[in-house]
Amino acid sequence: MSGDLLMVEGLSKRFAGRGRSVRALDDVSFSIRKGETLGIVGPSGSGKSTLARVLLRLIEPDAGRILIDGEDWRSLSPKALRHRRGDIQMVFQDPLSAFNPRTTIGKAIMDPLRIHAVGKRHSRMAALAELLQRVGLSADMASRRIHEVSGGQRQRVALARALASRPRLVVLDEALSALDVSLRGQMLELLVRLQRDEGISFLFIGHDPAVVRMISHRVAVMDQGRIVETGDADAVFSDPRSDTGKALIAAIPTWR
Amino acid sequence: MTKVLCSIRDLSVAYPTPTGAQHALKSVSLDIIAGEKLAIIGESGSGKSTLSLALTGLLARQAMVDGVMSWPGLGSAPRAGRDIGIVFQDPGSSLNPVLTIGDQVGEGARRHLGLGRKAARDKAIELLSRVRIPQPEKAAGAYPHQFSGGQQQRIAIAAAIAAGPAVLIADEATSALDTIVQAEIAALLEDLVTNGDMTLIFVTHDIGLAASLADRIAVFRTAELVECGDARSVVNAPRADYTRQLLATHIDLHSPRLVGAADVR
Repeated sequence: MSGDLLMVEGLSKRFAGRGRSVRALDDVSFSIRKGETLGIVGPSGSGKSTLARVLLRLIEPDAGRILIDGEDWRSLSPKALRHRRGDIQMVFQDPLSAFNPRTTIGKAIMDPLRIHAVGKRHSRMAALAELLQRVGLSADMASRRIHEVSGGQRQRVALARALASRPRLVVLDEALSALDVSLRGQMLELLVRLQRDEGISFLFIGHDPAVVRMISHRVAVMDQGRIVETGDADAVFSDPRSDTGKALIAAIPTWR
Repeated sequence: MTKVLCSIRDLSVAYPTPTGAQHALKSVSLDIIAGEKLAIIGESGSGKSTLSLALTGLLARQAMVDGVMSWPGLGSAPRAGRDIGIVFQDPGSSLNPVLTIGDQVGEGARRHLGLGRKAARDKAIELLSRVRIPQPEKAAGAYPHQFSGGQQQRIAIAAAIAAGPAVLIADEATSALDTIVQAEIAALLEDLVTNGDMTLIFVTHDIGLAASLADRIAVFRTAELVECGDARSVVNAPRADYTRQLLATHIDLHSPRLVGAADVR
């Protein structure tokens, strides 16, 4: 038993248009174990977000394999995929654009419960209250609309919605980048607690390597669609081997 | 000798809301020294961006302003674009998508320095090379979408300094960029200010970045100035509890990691 939840092999994706062609992903391979956080760092345009979207099957790759618990994710039929989508969820950078502005927070979190048929109708209200509580929000939040709550609360709602379908892997794409520093620390602690309690795996993408270092067990450094370095977070951050890794880490601002 | 460029006394700015006036700045007093690099730091809603809009005279019309802002270093209130240049967080929304880079960078020089079309074009090319855009002649004829986010921010900086302003305000100008590009833009701002006889007001939420760039730091929280002083002493011996809290929550390579290898099942 390897304990790998996700295994990715040779993922490639090329975007072409107007005579230009960009290799957004170039032969990307990695794995994430159960209960593990893999951090992805890299400069803008290195392919981090394309990778997230390919894993969610929001974009089809040109080549490569995605195995979840040994099962080929890319060969799932549309029907089977619909059933399994709940296994991988995503939290985006800007929660305001990730929600229907007219719906209530309660409904936004209930939708995935309904779609993925988690529990019976009457038990879903209890599930909603429990989800809100797990991300540190009070139950009366359910009747409010997303624009009525603060940025930090919004991102907790996005996390609650992602957790609703009981995912095994949550992809966080710059999920903390828009938050104030104090809120960012609280969210990091919340993610770590959820992971310890429930064994969820995270793919944590961030443009701020210092934040990625705090929460990741292992780190992959991306540049121009390739993984140029990967290893334990401690090792990569204390002694980066790739030029990209060195440059990213040297540029972290500090007051000390 | 230190020369006061701008003197702010008891400045308050409030916006009308359905539930009454909401203060964005509350009796702020602060001197900006000519030639310094002053960092304005704070979290969302601290009033830091309102201060940069007040300095530039770009406050919304319904804003209620009280207090005194005088400019002994300039003699009169600054004209936005001429005496004071500003760069915002998102260069994509500050550049006009249908105008060439050359036209946009040269616009300030045409309007404020009275340059003709040809002279403004030459000036734009000179500015583009000063902010280190490769092949500036070719770049002048290109459009914003043809450049990366970091290059767009360099172009926005070139446009902001086109009329040779005495003050350059960078309002979260590096926040949307990756750390490598952020460090490059910070170095560019530092170089432009040092060699161009300008005053830099650097608005940021990142106390680490502020400490590495600025001479002085002013800390804002919920519309009030919490403390202001020499950058080294603000981070090494903060007087306000809030500053201590900001330093404690700042995440850098010295922050303790939250997970270890043993957690993985």
